[in-house]
Amino acid sequence: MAGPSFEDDATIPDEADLWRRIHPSWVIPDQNIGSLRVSSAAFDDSPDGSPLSMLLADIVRETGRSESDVLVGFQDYSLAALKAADARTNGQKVSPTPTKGEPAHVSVAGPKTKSTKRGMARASRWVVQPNHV
Amino acid sequence: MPTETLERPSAEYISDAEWLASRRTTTFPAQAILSAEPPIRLIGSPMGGFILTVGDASPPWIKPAVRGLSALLELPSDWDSYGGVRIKPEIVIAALNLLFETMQYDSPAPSIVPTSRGGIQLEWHRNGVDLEVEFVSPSRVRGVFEDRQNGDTWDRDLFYDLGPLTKAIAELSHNR
Repeated sequence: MAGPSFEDDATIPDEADLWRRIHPSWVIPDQNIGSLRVSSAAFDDSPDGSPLSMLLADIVRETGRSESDVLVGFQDYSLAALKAADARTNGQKVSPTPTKGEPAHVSVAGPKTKSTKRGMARASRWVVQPNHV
Repeated sequence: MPTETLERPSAEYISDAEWLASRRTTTFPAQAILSAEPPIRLIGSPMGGFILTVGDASPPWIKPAVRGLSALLELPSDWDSYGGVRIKPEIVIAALNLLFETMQYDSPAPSIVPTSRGGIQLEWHRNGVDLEVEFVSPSRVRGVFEDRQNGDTWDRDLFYDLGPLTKAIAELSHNR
């Protein structure tokens, strides 16, 4: 039986920010850029096969929340952002998949090769910096 | 020669802090001695953990690597808030063995990163080099290398041939 299909939503512009909560163990030093950054391991699908989960920043803000609000209850986590364009240029489809508890939820669906995950990690930037900067 | 014995019989029995502070020797029977080169010995335990004995003359990267790997064993189910599964002890042992086989005395310790699927990623980003080694299972190991200065790259299975990885790690130690 085929699983759900995820189609790219063209109404999400390329410049839209997608946010990803980053577990502290996914924060690594990169001496080549002289700072901490996100490991490629942070940009994989979930173990149950569901696509990479992210939040559409515009929707988060429309619901009256800030960057810090999405980290409430996630001690020591940081928040990274990726442009929708960066996901798409890495072969991913950006598909809104809102839930009852999270209207801003999107699925970033597509093959997650090493190259893809590294590409998204390199394109990401901090929205909420790691505590141990 | 005094030795520090790091014992990790099972993630359920002792905490990481207890393990690091432990000066006890193990009474667990050894299922296999995975590395018998003193002063480092790694023994797989049938309880699902491992025992590592580290001597004073061991390379500087050993202790941070062991502590980093030990910390991953403490991660609970759903550790990443996205359904991440617990890290498999056999992958920890495989990662340690790979480091024993490829690292030099003065090699920099890797960043040790868990994957949501229960695997481990070893990473080095320095000296213009980006090197990542991902363990999906003890026998499925893939490495990606990029030298930003000369453009050399490779992306390959490392289970059967560690030569490229050994060479890449050697380059990490050299100032350019």
